[in-house]
Amino acid sequence: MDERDILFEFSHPERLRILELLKKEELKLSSISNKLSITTAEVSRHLERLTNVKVIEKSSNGEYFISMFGTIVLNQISNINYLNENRDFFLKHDLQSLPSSITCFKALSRSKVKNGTLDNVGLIKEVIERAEKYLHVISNQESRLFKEAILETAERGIEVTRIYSKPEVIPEEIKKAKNIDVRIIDDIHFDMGVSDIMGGLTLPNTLGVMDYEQIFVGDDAVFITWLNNIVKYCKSKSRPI
Amino acid sequence: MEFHELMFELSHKERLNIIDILSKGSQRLSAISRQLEITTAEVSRHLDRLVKADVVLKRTTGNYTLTPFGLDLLMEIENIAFLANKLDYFSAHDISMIPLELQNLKVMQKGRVMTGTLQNMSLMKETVDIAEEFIYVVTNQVSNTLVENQRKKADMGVEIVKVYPMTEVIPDSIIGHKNIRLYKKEGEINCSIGVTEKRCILALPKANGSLDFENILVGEDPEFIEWSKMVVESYVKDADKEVS
Repeated sequence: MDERDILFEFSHPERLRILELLKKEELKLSSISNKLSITTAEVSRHLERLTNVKVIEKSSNGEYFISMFGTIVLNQISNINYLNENRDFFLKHDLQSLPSSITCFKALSRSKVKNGTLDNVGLIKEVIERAEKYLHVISNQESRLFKEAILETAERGIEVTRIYSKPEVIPEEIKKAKNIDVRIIDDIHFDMGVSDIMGGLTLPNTLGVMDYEQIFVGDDAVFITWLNNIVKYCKSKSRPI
Repeated sequence: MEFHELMFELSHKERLNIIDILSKGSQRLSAISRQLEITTAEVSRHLDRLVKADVVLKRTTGNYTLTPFGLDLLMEIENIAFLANKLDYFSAHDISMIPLELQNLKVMQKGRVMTGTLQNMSLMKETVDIAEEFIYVVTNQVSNTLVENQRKKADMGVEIVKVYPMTEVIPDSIIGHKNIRLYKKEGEINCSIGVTEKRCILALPKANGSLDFENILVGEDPEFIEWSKMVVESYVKDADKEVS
């Protein structure tokens, strides 16, 4: 068995519907057939295929359920579904800019794609201003708007980490500020900010330009932890100025 | 395009081969045809389908290349290839205790499966012995042999972090050591992860919930090490108590 065999099983709408049902509960062939109004012969054929690729199993009392292997596979498949649902975004943006050991569509899917540059600038400002415990910002851009918000947040006594890859863009005020740990890393290909309250991620478009027209924003715990992992990763590759 | 239609486009052997070739760089139709030893007519038909699915793009120069969407898909396809290839391992092991944001199969592919409980135990001991910078561990029970070695390492200045279930009794010999941080977590811990600057070892539970030391994942790749350290750190973050 190889990836083709697995991918193929997800290319039939009826099999996808069967899997959706089995995700919720263990079911006998007849109840699946009833629920989906598909003949038992058809359902049986689908169940046999899914069993062959080990995605589902049959219990001794005749109920079908998603196997442990199936759970992991479905997890990956749902990532493809997420990519497909947000195809327009993923066609225009380069995710290869994120560290590959950290790329996780599952975490990304917990955030929302927000449109509109002006709104998005406002959202990023919110990330900075609403921080209560910590704030991490990774970016080579230093607009006055964000700089002032970051300085104010640091003055409120919040621990700030600010990572750049170009030493020449670091403003003096940021360097001198208390509570700001300013660091340098070799390369940055994305902009992000995360606090204990919310986070945002901006990716470059296909021309390599940071695209503030569409960004990821969210306050979901998985998304925030994931952004923190990116910070941890970048921090471990960085040095203080 | 509907999800199942996209899956259909992806689930063809020749089309997957074309995606694989293009993942190494853009190519002309004729070159793809030569590498796969299929007719240009066939290749052209597949390329058309992949272009319609937004997976592949034809440049004005006539070269075909993967779109950013195609590159993202490729990552997931590689993950599924890895699962299919390690079917036996993933049919028998549960990875749900790894935090969602770290369930990254791409990294786990850098690990290899090692078999043999005794050999694996020796490997764990050796891994502790050669550590020079840090030893991070999450585990379901205290192993007295490993604890003794770790204390010696701590004496030599190696930074040690350990997370145990609340019910485990931690030996006095390692409590209060300046280089050892100990944490306890409520509930069961159903994995055993040990990571040093040189190597990472991962033991996962079997279908019945018991930890499997017969088959473990081992890796020396820096990204794999970095990732495992993050998994341990996420356990530290969720710990209920620091023991001192």
